[in-house]
Amino acid sequence: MKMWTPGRLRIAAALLIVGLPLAGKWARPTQDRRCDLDGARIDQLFRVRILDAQDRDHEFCCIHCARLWLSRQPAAPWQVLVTDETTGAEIDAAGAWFVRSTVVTTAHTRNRIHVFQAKADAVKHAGTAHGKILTDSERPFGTAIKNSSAARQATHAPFER
Amino acid sequence: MILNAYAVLDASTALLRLLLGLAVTFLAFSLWRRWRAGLSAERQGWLEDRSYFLFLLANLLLILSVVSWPLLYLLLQSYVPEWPGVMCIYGVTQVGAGSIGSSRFLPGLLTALQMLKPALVFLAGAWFVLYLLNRRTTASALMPRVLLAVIPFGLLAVADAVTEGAYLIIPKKEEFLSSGCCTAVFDADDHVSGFFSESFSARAGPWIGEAYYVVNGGMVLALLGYILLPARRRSGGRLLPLGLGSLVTWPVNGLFLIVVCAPALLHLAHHHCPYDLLPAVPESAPAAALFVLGSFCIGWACVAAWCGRSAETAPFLGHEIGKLLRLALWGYAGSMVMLSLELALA
Repeated sequence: MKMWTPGRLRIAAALLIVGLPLAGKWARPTQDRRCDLDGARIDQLFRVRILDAQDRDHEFCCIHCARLWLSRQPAAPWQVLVTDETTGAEIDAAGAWFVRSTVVTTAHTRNRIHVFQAKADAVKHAGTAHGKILTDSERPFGTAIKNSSAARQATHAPFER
Repeated sequence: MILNAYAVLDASTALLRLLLGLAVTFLAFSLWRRWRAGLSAERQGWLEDRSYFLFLLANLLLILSVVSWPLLYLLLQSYVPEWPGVMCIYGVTQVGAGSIGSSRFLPGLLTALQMLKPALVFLAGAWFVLYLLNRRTTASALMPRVLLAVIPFGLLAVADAVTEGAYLIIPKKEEFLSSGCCTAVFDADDHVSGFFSESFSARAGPWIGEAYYVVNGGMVLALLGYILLPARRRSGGRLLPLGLGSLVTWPVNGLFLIVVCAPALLHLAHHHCPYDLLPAVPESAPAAALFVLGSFCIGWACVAAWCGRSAETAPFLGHEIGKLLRLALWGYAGSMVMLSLELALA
């Protein structure tokens, strides 16, 4: 008896067509958190976290990706959290010091903006890496932070009264 | 040259393809010239015996050519960790861009390779279809055409092997990555190729999805209609709409993969890089391969109908074309089912 008759081949092909996507989905391990813009691995020292208008959490590998993602959002975010490069602590972007220097944080995006919690650390990095402390409109997430603060205040106002 | 297991495997198959391509082209040309000159029955038998060796080599070249296509992408994927600024195959394709040394040829060579591979596989398949038809004849009625078809196949295999060899040999140290990240090209609104950008996807996404199902569903129905025709009515002229339809499916399916599938399967709403699918969702590769099989089978059916016709092949040609179209039907329907399932599960 022939093992591979046309009928059996058709059944095997149909099983493969239906089974492969199911097997792929089942076999794929739960991945660690990746950048929400380009899917790259996130170095915890340069992580940016954004809480969007629907209170959903989004993580990014660097400031460049977070800014790109934010520019495509119709509503202002609730909060933008950045990581202090000196301590690794998560801080609100509104209170952070940003330095653009010659040092690249994330190779594939060429991001050169660094984040510090303390002004002294920012000044030190700017001095050693030929950087510049970003002020006013140069600061990343400027408009988004202002809008999110206004939105937060509007929401919390009734409870504060 | 970056030496890893894939590079060694790729280099050895490229070398084999180069040697086989040269041998096959030379042998096919010399046999075709003698066959054309007109032969006695005894001489024809001698030439037929010689052709067995040629076809054995051509079959081996066909297998290597088909294997070399996925192997190229596996090689490029294996190169990704070599540069810190590269995050996927797209970044590898940009290595050398803007350099002034020999590395400046690397992006061009890769573009050429990405176009040569499908052309080579199609040509190899076209030759194989004619070869199979000729094998079923008693007087080798299609022999001159089969020999003639080997020549462009062999030449293209040589060109492909030389290009691949050059890409492997050229040093990849002097790299100037204008952009190692595919987001800069596939997603950027301000980039010249930001054709697949967020704004384009938002506008075109829904109708590209609809167009994909209309075009591919239409192809499945058209193929079914042709297959259900009696064998004597399967003329070459009736295959023309199918051939044109398969050409239309290429841009539609390409757009669907980039605009709809990539963001959904990668779970990255703003990311449209098809190269990222290979490592992240490998089961999308068989779906793409099934589509390629489907459209190539229609092309091969056209080749069989237009170049395989003779008094000796007439009784079984319609049946053979039907076999190819049934395979095309499996390819189109299978690809559509697989991609739809993957999107539903994403």
